[in-house]
Amino acid sequence: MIVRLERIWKYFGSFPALKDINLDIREGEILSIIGSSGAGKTTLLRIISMLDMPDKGVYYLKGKENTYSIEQRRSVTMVFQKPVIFNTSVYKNIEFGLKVRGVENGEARKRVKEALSMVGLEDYAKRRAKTLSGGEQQRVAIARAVAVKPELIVLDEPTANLDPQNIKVIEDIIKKMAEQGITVVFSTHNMFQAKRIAERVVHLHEGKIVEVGNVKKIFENPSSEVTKKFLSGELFY
Amino acid sequence: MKYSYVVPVVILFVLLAFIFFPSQNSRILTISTTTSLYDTGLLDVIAEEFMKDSGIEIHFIPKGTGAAIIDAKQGVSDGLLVHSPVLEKDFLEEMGYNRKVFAYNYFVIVGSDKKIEASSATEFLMKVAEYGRQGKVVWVSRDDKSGTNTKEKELWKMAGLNYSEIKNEAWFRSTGTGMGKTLLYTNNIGKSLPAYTLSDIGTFLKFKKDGLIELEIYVNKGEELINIYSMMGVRGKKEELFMEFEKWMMDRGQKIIAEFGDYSQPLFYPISMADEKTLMWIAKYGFFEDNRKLTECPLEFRKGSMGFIEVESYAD
Amino acid sequence: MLIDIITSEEVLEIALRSIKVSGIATLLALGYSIPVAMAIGFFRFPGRDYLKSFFNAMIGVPTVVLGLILYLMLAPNGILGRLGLLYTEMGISIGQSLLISPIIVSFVSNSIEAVEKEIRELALTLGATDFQASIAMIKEASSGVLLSAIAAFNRAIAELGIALMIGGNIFVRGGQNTRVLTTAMQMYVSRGEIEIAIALGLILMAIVFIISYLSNTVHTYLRGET
Repeated sequence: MIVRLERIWKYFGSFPALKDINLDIREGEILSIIGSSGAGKTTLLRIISMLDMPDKGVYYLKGKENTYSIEQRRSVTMVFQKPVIFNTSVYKNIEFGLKVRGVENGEARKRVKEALSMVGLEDYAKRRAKTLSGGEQQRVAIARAVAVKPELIVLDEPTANLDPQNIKVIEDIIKKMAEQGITVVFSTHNMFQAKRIAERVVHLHEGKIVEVGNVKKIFENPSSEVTKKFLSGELFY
Repeated sequence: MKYSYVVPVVILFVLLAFIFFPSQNSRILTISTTTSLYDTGLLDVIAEEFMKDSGIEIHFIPKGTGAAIIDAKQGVSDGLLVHSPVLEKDFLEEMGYNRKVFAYNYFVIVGSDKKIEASSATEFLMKVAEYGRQGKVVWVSRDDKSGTNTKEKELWKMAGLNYSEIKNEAWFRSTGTGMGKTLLYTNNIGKSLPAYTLSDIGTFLKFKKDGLIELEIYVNKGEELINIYSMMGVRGKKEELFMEFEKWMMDRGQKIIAEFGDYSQPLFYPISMADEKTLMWIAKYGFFEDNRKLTECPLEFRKGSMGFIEVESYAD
Repeated sequence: MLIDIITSEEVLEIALRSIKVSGIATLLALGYSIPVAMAIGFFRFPGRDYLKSFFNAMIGVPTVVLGLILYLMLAPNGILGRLGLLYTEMGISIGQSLLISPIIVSFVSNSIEAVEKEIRELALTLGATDFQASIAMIKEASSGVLLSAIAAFNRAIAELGIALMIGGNIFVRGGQNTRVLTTAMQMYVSRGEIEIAIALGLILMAIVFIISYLSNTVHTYLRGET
C-alpha cells in the first residue's frame, strides 16, 4: 500500500468538493479515476499529490501519517491537465526536478536522456519547450515527472484535448511507466481509456466514491446505480 | 515564503551607489543666474578660470530672474548673478548682502530697413507707432514677461504710449516666445514690410554671426537701453567663499568679461571700464538710494572689506 | 565635424555620466521595486488593487511634476534638505529611480502574476522546496524583470525634467558635474548651437538602441535558445 486515504473531506468555502473519501493505492498498479466534470477528480489528485491538504481525514504514505515533509513530497509527482512548461529548453525543463534534488550533472544528463527516449523525444533536448505542439509538451511534462523517479506519478486528464494519435502515444507511455515499477494514478472522463490501460478504477461522483474495483468487474458488473448510468453514457461529461 | 535575500540585495545596491558617487566637496559655490547671461557662455569661462585661481568650484544654475530668487529663498544658492535692479532691491533687503554691479551692456533696437531715423530709443518708438498706424512698419514684441520684455514696456512708457493699448493695434505683433524665435520672426516679416524689435545684444550678435538673420542695429546706445548685471550674496550661506568670488570678479574677472566673445563688438562691458557719463546712467537705473547718496549697495547690507561705489544723488 | 564633436572629451564625459546616473537609478529602482512587485504578484491583501492602479497611473507621471516636488523637498530648506542631494549626481539618480519605479513594479508584478500559481505548483510537485519554487518563479518572470529594467533605463536616460531640476546642468572642467545628455541638449538648443545638440541626440539614440539590442540577446539566452 503506497497511499491510504482515510475519511478525507475537502471544502471550497462551505461547498464540500470531497466527501468522506476512503481509498487505497497499491504499489505498482495503474489506477484510473473516472467521473464526469466537476466530480472532484482534480481535487482528489491534488490531495494525493500533496499540493493541497485535506480539511478533514488522514493521509498515510507508505504506512506513515503524511507530514508533508520535503522527502515525502518528493515521492509523488503530478502532471497537470494543461501542460505547464518552464520558459526554457526541453533539457532544462526535465533537469529541474533533478537539480532541486542535488543530483550531480553526469547522472542528471543520463536521466534526462533516458526520460526523453522513453517519451520518444530524444532529439528535442535543445528545443525551446514552449514552441512544441500540445502533445509534445505533454510528453515533455511526463518525461520531467519520470526523470525524478518518484514512487507515484499522478496524471490529471493526460490526454484531454489531444488528437487520437497523440492519445495512443501517451497511453503507451503510461504503460511503460508501470513496467518500470512506478505506481500510476490518472484521471479521465473517458471510460474507454480507463478500460484500455487501468487495472483498477475508482468512480467519483459529486465528491463521493461510488464504485471502486477491478476494471473487469466495474465495466461488466457495476454495483452502483450511478456507475451504471455513467457507463451507459447518460452521465458522460 | 522566504524572501530574506532581498534585504541584503537592496543594501548592496545602496552601498554600490554611494561608492560610485564621491563625497561632497565643501569648496563649492552654488550661484543662481539668469538664462540670458548663462546662455552667452560667459559663465562657463568664469567658472573655469576662477577654479584655476582659487580651487573653488562654482555651480551656476540658470533660471529666470524670478526663479533664481526662489532658489535663494529655498536655501539652494549662495549667491545670485542677475540683471533686474527692481527685483534685486527687495531681495537685498530680505536676505542679500554685498550687491556689486560687475558689468553692463545695452539692449538694441534692430530691424530690417532703415525707414526710421531717431537719436534715442524713445524717439524711435514714437516713430514706430506713428508709421505703424499708417501701415508702413510693424513692431515685434516678445510679450513674455521676460527681462527684455520688461525693458520694452518701460521704454513704451517713456515714449508716452500705453503698452496694453497698443498691444491690440494691427502694427503690433506679439510672439510670446524667446529672443531667438522673435528675431527669426522679425527677419521673415521684414522681407515684406520694415519690421523692428528689441533684443539683447548677445542673442542678436550670435544669430547675426551664424547668418540666421539679416537685421541691422538701429539704436544701440543711450541711457534708456542700459542693461545692468550685478551679483550679491545670500546672508548666512558660504559668505567667505562668495566674498572671495566677488573680489576676484572685480579684479581678474573684469578682464575676462572685457575679452569675452568672438563678435564684431563686445558682449559685455566690465564696470571698471565705465566712463563718468556711463557710471551716472548706471547709478540712475541700477543703484539704490542710501542716506542721500546713490550706491550699488546700501551701508547696512555691506560685509567684509569690499569697496562700494557711491555717487551724489541726482539733482534733476 | 559631427564626429569631432561626438569624440570630444567633454561630450564623452557627459555621455558616460548619463549612463552612470541612469544606470544607478535603474539599479536602485530594481532594488526596491522588485520586492514591491513580488508582494503584489504573490500575495492577495486588502488594498492590493488600489496599489496596482496607483503604480499603473504613476507610470505616466510628468517628469517636471516629480522634479518640482523633489526640488522643493531636497532644497536645503526642504524636509530632506539635510541630505545635500540637490544639484548632485546622486540626487538625479534617486529622482529618476522614483520616476521609473512604477514601470518596474507594473511589469514585474504582471509577469509574476502570469506565472505565479502554475509555476509554483509545478516546481513543488517536481520536488522543489518553497525557496527553490520562489526562485523558479522569479526566473520564469526574469524576462519581465529584464524588459522592465530596459524600459526603465531608457525612460531615465531620456528624461529631462528631473535631470534639470535636481541636477541643474552643472559643468565645470574637473568639477563635480551634473550635466547629462538631455540637459546638455536643451542648453545647446537654447544657445543656438544646434550641431552639438544633434550630436548629443545621436549619442542618446545610440545608447538606447545598443541597450535594447543587448537586452534582446540576453533575453534569448534566458529563454534557453542557445
